Amino acid sequence: MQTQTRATSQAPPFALPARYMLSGLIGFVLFAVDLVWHVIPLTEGQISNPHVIALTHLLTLGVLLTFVMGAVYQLLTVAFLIPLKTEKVGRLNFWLYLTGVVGLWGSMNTWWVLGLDIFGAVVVLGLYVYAGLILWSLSSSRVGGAMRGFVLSAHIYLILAVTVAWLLVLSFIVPGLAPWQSQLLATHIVLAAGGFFGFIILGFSYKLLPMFTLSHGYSTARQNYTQVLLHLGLWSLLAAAWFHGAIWVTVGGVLALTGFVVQVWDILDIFKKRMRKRVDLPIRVVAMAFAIAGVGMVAVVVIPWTGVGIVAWQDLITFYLLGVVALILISYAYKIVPFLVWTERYGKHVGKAKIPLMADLLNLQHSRWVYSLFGSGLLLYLVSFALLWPIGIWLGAGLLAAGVLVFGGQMFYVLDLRKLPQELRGTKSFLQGRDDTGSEL
Amino acid sequence: MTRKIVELDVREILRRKEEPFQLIMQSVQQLEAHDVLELRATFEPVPLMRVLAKQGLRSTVNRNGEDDFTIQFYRDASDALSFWHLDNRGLEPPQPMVRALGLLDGVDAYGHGERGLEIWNERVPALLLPELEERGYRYEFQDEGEQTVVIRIYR
Repeated sequence: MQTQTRATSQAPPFALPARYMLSGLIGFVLFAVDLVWHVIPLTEGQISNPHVIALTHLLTLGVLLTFVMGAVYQLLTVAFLIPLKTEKVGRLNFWLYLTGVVGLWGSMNTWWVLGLDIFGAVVVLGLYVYAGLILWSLSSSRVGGAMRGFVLSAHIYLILAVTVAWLLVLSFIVPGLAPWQSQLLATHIVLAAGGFFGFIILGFSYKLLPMFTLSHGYSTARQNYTQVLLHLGLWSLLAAAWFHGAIWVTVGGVLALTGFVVQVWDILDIFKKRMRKRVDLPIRVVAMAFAIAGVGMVAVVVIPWTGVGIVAWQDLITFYLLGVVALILISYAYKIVPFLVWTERYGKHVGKAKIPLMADLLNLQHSRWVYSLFGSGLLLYLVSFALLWPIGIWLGAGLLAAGVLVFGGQMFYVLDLRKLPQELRGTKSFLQGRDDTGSEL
Repeated sequence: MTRKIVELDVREILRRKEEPFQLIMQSVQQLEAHDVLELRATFEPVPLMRVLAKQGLRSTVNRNGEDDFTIQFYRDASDALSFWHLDNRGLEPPQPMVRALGLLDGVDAYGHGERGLEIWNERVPALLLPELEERGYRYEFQDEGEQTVVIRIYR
């Protein structure tokens, strides 16, 4: 058995991020199927239905968080110029986390309380290990700036979100915690959706957008203002969860909205100072998604004063998770998955054999099919959910699922599932033994 | 990170009408096989370039201004094209790519095939390659280990 070598002197690791990304993609396909399969409780607005809760956590834990973890493992080397402190712990934690998420998803679907406790604890442990590992690794990076602040904050918010989730589970057993269930739930959602997902995608965008547009000379002066505005906005929303004041929600929404406006301003500046002649469609969609996030924050400002019920908040959370977080992750996946695969499969053969370029792995123009299906489906779903219009929810869920399935197919094509198992085990390099002649390339 | 660019600025010495030759030769003697001496001077030092050429050192001149020249001296017996060297190791992305493209797009000598660019990166710049192809440049890679990938870009 031959040991796999890294593509270059300091190439990012392959197997660890690839495992997480592959799992996230499989989770996304399952989510698409499950969304259509369990659409009936959604058409009836049953947001506390076990299948709806399971579906939500499949999306957040099994898709978004799993993919983000893979991307963070990949980007540590690229963005922070450091290796992960211990890959072995990361690898072991993958199986721990995966077991926890699968078990939790199953337990939620059948509402098996003991399973919720056991697998919930496993997921909590897995996330503590992950966040601890990243914070430990970041401690030795000399890279500063707003990106560091955002990524550190995201992982601290993740630890807090997970802790609150655990308290929420405990509240069903410990009578003393029962009166705080709604506050704990709101706190968990704000910390996880805003604190972790919001901060992590914003932070890495400060690195990824200039990288993918080859931009330089843009202003970084506003990035810290964005960070402060979003922290204050988040804390204001947390205050709203505990003090039940509409004004806290509105203040939080205004602060977050201002933060996103500054972020979009920064992105436009990055685009303006780019060296790439054209900006790829997925990167343009990232910019659009941040603008969409701003629209969501307008809704946060307005909803408390309209008298609409919990359905509006549920719709808004779906809008944020799918229309902002998932949309941005899909868009970055179009760039970072080919980057990961190309570096592993071809990077070490550059200059020795004729190899494809990264752009040859997937035509990014084909992403427009995904955006069309996903975007129109989500819009139809959100409007229909707000109006509790079953046919629209059905159609919207169907279109959205179709978009996810097309996206999954494209990513599986890039990953090439015939070669991937051996590469993940580290037993074979794709071009091993062929690079002298290049005859099979 | 065995190879390095040794910087030596002798402009003040020259402005004082003093002789920097000894200092330059000391720096040359300390160069390892793959090192580059980057000299800043107030004029193009043609006699010095001839002397060092006899010692096997090639030179590439960049004129920064009226009395500001940067000259890189390096050992290379492989080809006729002269190369400018950029050490991008330790820089945060996308700086390595931006620096390389900045030179390739901004200096005519590269586009006209009169000069090549040699960059020292920590990893293969996957995102740079499509940009090079789009601009009609060829490239060669050499992974030296120890966080050093040498990429030669030319037309």
